Amino acid sequence: MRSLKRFGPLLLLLPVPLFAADAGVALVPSVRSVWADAKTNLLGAPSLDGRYLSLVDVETGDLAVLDLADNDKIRLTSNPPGSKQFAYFSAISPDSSRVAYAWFNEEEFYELRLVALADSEGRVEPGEPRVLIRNPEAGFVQPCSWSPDGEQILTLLFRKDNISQIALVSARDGSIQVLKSLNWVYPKKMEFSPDGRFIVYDSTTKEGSDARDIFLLSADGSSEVKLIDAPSNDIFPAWTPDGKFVVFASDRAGTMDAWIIPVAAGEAAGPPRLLKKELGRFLPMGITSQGAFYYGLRTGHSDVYTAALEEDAAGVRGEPVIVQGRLTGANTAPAWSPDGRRLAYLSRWGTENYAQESRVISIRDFEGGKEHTVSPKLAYMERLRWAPGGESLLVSGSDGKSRAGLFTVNATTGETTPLVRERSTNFRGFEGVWSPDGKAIYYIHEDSAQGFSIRRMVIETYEEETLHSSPAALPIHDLALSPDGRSLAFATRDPAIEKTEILQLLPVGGGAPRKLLTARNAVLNGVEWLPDGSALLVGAPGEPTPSIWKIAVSGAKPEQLPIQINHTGGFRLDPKGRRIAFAAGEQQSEVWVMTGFLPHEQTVR
Amino acid sequence: MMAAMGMRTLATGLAIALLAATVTPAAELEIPLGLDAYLPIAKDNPLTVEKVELGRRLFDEKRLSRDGMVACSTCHDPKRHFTDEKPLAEGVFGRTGNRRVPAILNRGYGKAFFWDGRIATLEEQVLQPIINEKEMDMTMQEVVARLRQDADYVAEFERAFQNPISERNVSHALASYVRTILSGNSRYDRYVSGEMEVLTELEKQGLEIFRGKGNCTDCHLGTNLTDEKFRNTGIAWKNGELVDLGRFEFTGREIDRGSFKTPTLRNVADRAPYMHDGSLAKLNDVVDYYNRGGNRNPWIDRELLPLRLTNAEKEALIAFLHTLTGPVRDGL
Repeated sequence: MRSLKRFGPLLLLLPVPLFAADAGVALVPSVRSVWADAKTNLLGAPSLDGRYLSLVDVETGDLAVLDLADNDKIRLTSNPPGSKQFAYFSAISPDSSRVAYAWFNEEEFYELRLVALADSEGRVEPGEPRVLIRNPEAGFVQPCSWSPDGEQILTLLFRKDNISQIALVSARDGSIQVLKSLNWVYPKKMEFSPDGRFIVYDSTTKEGSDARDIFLLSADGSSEVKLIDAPSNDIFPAWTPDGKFVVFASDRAGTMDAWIIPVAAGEAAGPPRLLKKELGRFLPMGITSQGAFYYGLRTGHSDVYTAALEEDAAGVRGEPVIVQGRLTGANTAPAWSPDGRRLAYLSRWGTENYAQESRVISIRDFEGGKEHTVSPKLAYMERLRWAPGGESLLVSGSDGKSRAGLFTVNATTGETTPLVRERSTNFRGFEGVWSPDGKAIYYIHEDSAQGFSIRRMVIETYEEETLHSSPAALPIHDLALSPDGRSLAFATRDPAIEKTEILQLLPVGGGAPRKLLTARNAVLNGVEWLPDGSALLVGAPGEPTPSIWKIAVSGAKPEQLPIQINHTGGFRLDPKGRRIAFAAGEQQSEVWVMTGFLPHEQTVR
Repeated sequence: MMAAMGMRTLATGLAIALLAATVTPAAELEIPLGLDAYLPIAKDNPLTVEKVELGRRLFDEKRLSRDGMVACSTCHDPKRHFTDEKPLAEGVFGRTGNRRVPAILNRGYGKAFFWDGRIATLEEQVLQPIINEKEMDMTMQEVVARLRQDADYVAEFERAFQNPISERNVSHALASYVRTILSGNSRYDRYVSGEMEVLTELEKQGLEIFRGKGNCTDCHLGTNLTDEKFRNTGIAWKNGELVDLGRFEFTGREIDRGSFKTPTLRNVADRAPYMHDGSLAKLNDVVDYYNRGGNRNPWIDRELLPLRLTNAEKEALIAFLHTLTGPVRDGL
């Protein structure tokens, strides 16, 4: 066991009293930090008695709990070193005796498991994990909440066909009762009511809209009502311990704030009221029986920078300049337009997610000084490449039906057209580049059975051709097409030497790839061609910043360039080779707790 | 380990308790494996044994048609998975409609009714065939008058509703019965719930194609294998024109020209012929049709692209479609 760094006892009193659901009762919610270090994750929940917070030990992948009294971390599973398995979401039983958790297993799908936390005397006594659900068709499971009697686990099943289901799983034998299926959309949060009669959850109601409403589903499946039915985005519902209110987040007042609504007999018993302004980048984790509201905050920042380069990329001229857009602190993945006038990049947008974030495309016109955003109909975007004509972008990511691949997005309207789209593919999609005439794309295809390959697709006919298949299913990344369109550069692992990457050059017209660079103990990060096609700039690890190397196509000795930029996800060279764009910064998570916000101080479940 | 899921039951006792003492208490609807326990039921029309049984009788009642020859069950034949074998619906006096009799399996989960989705609730839907001149060609006043001449019906309505025969009560009884027509517990349902050996390798390949290369789940998804949405798949495009405007006739929206509702694929292998006009006789015709990307037309759905399935892949896909057949149950 090891203590975690704690940012306490930092107590922040909000300056303005807030009015809660009981008219005239002035409350002063207080918040304090519980856990904030590089290993903080928001995959767990507090126990009802406020004694523990479940979590994932990111070093080992084990399920663990944090003893909130003494900050000791208690590991509940024993993942062998080097294992690819890991724990994910978890929920502690009402009596704090067991923890239900998702476990990513050796066959690469999630199981629902149960492990003992404490004995009948309350002494911590981890037991052997027990598998409740092991079904590859229920590819992802998320335990969300326990029934008050500890008999059932409210679980989100995310099936292999990407249907999410609200289900009750017996804690005794793992039998499942699916209460309701939701096509493609999953609740961001759902919870049993303290009396066990209802389940509160959020979901979208209109296709193409991100705005959610809040529903009350009876636990026996006999009825459902909308608790919140409004044009605003209303999400993350949680019951107060007495079951008389549901707390939720909403942007109905312009910012994402905490609201509370009274509930009686499975229906709204009054209008919602504001509880706390401006939650920030907030993710709820749970409310204890004493009314302590544990939640996560995303902190840190990531922004896009540009830097002028010396002739022939011989160094950086001056300091990098931040691209100051409308959305700051959460920008990444820059891409230059073919004429070098515009820079497109991805910006975080909307409410927080426990998993991948929602993003829009920001486009800055450096000559006109304008910026606009486009919102493609995509659930997630990972990287961008401008089309040769500059009218659209090739976007890696996944659509609203969890099909991942490559899409074209109109740079003005955001109209989205799928090019390559597959299920059972990483949500980040495929990495692709355009042919110089814009009539074809080259992309890295990833297949769990066949591994990685480089393919060409003709856009008009959707015809495909495999140009190269990776031996031994080794991953391929950082695909870059030469300015003359005749060679594809890519990074991959060296099949012969461990922990070694190689840069290869593949003739588009046919033939075997040629090795240009061997990088021992390194993962290459960023591959860009110089405009004259004579060499590539390649990113590699370095101290104090990542290093950038010039790799001549002729095979001349690699040359480390005096470019020191602390990029986090590669870099992009503008078409004339005079500027470089990159993202820098990092995102972090923190766990906080808010108390004194409930309408009734003595509310005890 | 995961315990196998069997039939589930949806208690309707709460609603029944509010009714008069003549109503059978504690009725339960069996929900087959693969369907949601939450079955939407109109607040003003809770399920009762009496209403469901009355609805079943009305479903078989030929006196609801002008010529006394056509009942709901004439087209929605329980022995044929609640549809018939004809390409186009046939009504009174041999009149022929212009669309295929739709499947009415699991309609309790429905969000839009008829091929063009012009009706929003089951309670409204069940009366439409009765008053359609190509189907049963009656008025509801005539229906009520005919039923009132039958003492048994008078008693049954009184027992079910504590009210006399009326248009509303006919609608509620029929809707209650249709709500209980459920298909699940197919081999596909068992496979998805964790019985991994219940499908053959060929059927499993077909499932992969269904979800992947075939892009079938873009429309045929969820527990009822339909998104309840409307698409132009080109079926109505004949000789360079749309011969049926589909949902456009109801909405007037350009995007809806030639679009029809995605039907459920429950029991699909036993429900030939296919499509809204019954124009495709066999499952392999349907697979071939989608494999070539449908009939291209200005309003065709953008998701519809040539699939480039091999013959082996088509065979696997059809094998999988047969696994969607499960027992159909009705009543309480």
